[in-house]
Amino acid sequence: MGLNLFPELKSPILIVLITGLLFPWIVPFRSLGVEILIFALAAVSCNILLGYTGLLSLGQAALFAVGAYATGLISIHLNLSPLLSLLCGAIAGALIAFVIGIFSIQRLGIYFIMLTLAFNQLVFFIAYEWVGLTGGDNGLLDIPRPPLFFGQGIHIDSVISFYYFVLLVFMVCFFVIQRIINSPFGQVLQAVRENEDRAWTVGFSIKRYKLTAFIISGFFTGIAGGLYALFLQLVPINAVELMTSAEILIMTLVGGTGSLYGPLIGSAVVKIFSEILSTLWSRWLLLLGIIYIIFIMFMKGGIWGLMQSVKNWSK
Amino acid sequence: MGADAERQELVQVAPKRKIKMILLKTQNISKYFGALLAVDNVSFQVNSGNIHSIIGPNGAGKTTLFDILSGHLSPSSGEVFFQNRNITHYKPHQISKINIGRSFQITNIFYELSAFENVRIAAQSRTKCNFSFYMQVKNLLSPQEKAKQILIDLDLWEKRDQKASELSHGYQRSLELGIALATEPILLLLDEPTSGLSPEETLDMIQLIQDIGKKITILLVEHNMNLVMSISDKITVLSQGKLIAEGSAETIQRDPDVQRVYLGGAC
Repeated sequence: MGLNLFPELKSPILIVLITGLLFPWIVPFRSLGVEILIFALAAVSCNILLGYTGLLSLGQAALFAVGAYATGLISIHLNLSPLLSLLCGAIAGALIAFVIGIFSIQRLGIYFIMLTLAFNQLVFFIAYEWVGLTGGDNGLLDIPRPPLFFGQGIHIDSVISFYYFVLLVFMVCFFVIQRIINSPFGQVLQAVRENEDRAWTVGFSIKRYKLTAFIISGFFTGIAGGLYALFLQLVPINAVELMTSAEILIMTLVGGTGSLYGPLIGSAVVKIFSEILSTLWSRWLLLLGIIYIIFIMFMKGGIWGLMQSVKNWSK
Repeated sequence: MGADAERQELVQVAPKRKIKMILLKTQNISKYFGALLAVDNVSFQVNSGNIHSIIGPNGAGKTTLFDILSGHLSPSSGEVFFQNRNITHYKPHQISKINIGRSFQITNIFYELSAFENVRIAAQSRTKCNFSFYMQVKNLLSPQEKAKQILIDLDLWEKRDQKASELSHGYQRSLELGIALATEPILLLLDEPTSGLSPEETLDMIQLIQDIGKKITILLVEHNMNLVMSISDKITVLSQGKLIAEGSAETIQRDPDVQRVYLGGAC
């Protein structure tokens, strides 16, 4: 992609960082940038499963929402630094991913997908019914956004300061996920995706790798959920709805599963399109639906795949 | 480093060849699929240093027997021992961990990965770094060196950057073997390594198997009679799940039961 525009920049991660730093000064809607980054983190985490391990999970909303509730509740009751409450959200996401994962990975293909869907609905109904904890239908309200570092130091209550906080968290997570994907562990995941039986035969215990991938995905999706809670200062019940899982999946697919940059682009494209279309026509979701169908049908590698083809073709 | 390791292996394995210790042993293995008895009370043993072949007409239970040995199937009854260890109910990854390698009759490789990565990932399975999250794979050198050595030996080095799915069938069969070799097997289970190969490629494969057989014990399932008769130290004949004969190539060729099965139309 930008490699042609900035030949001196070898790593696209720098392009992401520079775009991220400049974004609020180019695009007038600053909260749009926050949403893009939060869902990009969720979609990148989703891609650890979908693109790198070959697991299509419909339970990502459960991981996202559990991270959001945990961060929200910690902030409300303990008023900790957002960094600590986010860490709690991450751990909560990892734990729920462990529970969902350990049952779901016992089955393959469509049965695996249905199990993750069932668990997502289970978490939804628990969140819906347990009004005392989650606020139920009303959502978890009045989440404070305390300054970083225990009541003093950096305040993140303005939109722009919160944007840069989210950008910082995103960049750190993205960097770590990239390292995991390029680690020996990440290579095993890709072997599992390519040929489970062969990976098993050369000595990899498939279930352990799948479960670990699930836990890692849950950890980072939990952070995304936590950021969402701090951003809205509430956790709406629809965060845990199946639609959220679908939205995360669509972003991943539209952007492309072949790279970690794909879901990031996917999140930006989906959020920006939604923003533009919704001001044009009240039935904008219909248009968005058509765009998704076109992407899925005609661009198997997503936007990232298209960029790669263009790059190869222009050589 | 790879070459050194190989030389060391030679030194270690060479004395064992003379002693002919029992490496693998099955005791009264049977396998039912529903009411169908695919493997019927088979007991045999593989001596270390041998190239040992299993032959038999279609449906004789050869691949089922292989699946049991490699952990893909559990036998309905009977036991399997490897180096005096009972491995009857081991799963494939556990079988691999005790250094039994396997190749498949139907090419079974990592199609969208490069030829190099196919072998490298198999070699990586022998390291202790499989659950390293922060280390970068490019810094994990020993599997890369081993993969390079294997690809050179298999004449695949020039194809290393190609996707496995884009290789010709012959190269894919070699890669299949390379993946199995990268797991440092003591015993190598080869399921019809020449299937689908041209006569020329078959000759190369025979040469290759003989070379490998100097270092590693091989258990071979094969349809190609010339191959079996020319390279096997010992042959086991299966028919309809039963073991009907065992011995050297000459013994087998003279055996009346084997002649009846192969010539008498039992297939």
